[in-house]
Amino acid sequence: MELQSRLPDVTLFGLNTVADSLAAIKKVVFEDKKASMEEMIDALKKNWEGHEGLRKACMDAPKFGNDDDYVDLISRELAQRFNEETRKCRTNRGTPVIPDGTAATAWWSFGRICPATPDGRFAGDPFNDGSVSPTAGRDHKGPTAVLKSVSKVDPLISWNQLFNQTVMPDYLKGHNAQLFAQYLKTFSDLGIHHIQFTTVNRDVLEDAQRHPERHPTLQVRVAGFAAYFIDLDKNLQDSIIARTAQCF
Amino acid sequence: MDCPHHPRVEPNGGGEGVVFSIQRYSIQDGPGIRTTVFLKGCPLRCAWCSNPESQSPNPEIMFRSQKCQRCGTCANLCDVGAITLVDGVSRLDRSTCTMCMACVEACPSGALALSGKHMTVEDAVEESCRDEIFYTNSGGGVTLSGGEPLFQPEFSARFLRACKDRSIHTALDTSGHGTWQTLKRVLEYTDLVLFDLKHLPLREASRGNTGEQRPHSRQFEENPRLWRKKGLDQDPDDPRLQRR
Repeated sequence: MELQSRLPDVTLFGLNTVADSLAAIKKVVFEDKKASMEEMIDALKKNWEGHEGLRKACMDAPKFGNDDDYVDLISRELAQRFNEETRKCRTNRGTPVIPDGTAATAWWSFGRICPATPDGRFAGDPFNDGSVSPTAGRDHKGPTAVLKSVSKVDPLISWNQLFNQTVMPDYLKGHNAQLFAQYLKTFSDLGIHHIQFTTVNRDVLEDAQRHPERHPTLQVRVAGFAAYFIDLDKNLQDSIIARTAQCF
Repeated sequence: MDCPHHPRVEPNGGGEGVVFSIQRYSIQDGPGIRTTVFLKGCPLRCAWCSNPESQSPNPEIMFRSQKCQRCGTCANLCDVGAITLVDGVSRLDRSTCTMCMACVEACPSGALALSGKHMTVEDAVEESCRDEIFYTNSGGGVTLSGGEPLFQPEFSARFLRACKDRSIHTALDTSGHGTWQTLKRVLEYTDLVLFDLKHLPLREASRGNTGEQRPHSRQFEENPRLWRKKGLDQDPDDPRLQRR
């Protein structure tokens, strides 16, 4: 591991944006035949303008994070194939290249320069959070369904997967604390090796955007690291606020 | 039009029911981490009802005005003219609507959405047991709620039985409003009852508050008495009774 950790890597991000996109194409174009592939490409080029109906159909297609095999298994296969392809690569000195899922904030920064995608995402919007979290706001079935979805993507083949969840602080108190412990036990039973929790109320984050002077020490988990919230770029702040808050 | 106070004939002999929503990670509806299955249809019309959209036994189209973009797509699309635009906002006339769902599929903002769908017992159980591993670790299970589960008694009984077949803990969230026969049948497969007792004794005021009709009121009062007679609420340790 000592040696491997110094090898160059290929970083995976936007995995579930791709999975959601392929699921939308499979459902809307091939199964329901609501649009042709040409129309889809045209809609993406126009950033969905004048194609609101098609975007609705794409948004209604299965989305990662809802314990739905239709899309979760696409995500799993993508991660597998990403791993296989990466391992075929060699550097110019002949040393191996390894897959990596750290992603940091790439899901946000590269999303800004990427045109619209078939999952219903607009040009410039962030990709799915972390490397394996659902796209913000698209997981509708609560935190357990998200864990089930994530557990289908084998973390070991890409060595590390960045997975963020936001939990409201009230849901970690009293009786809820015990349930949360049981939730964590299940997370481990499902073979997921990492979750990074943010437990700040949305109101506090929004207040910190408006009045940074009041929150000089407010820290949030960004991506494998914590940062002072008020130091972050406004757009990155927004995308952290947009992470689905799990209110049980 | 179904009378709201009479359970309709259950489709496929109770092999199929109308489910309003299946909510995972429910932590207020019994012990542990649970999944709550909300059935559609209730004989009561309580003034404080928390899910009024679950009162009618049939699937309904819901309209969320705050989500409406005022694009008028739905009104242009409706074959029977059931949708009119009032100040740009759609208004649905439920008496002419044929539930063809064209508007729900086309609505770009999701303001028009279907509430309630027909599900077979097998599908409902499959969906409800997806969090089984969480139930095992937390002492949780499945809670049947509503609406009123006793309004679809055969479906409820079959559903709970199928859960018990999988060794999953079952809870029944009920106002107790159903025949004693029905209750008894459903209780066979119920580990815990969350009894939402309304008014006792039944007075004019409670009739007003719950929409309870006179011909059914005897049942409404008698069920809790029968429970008492069976000794269910005599024993505070009876695991099937839990005060909320």
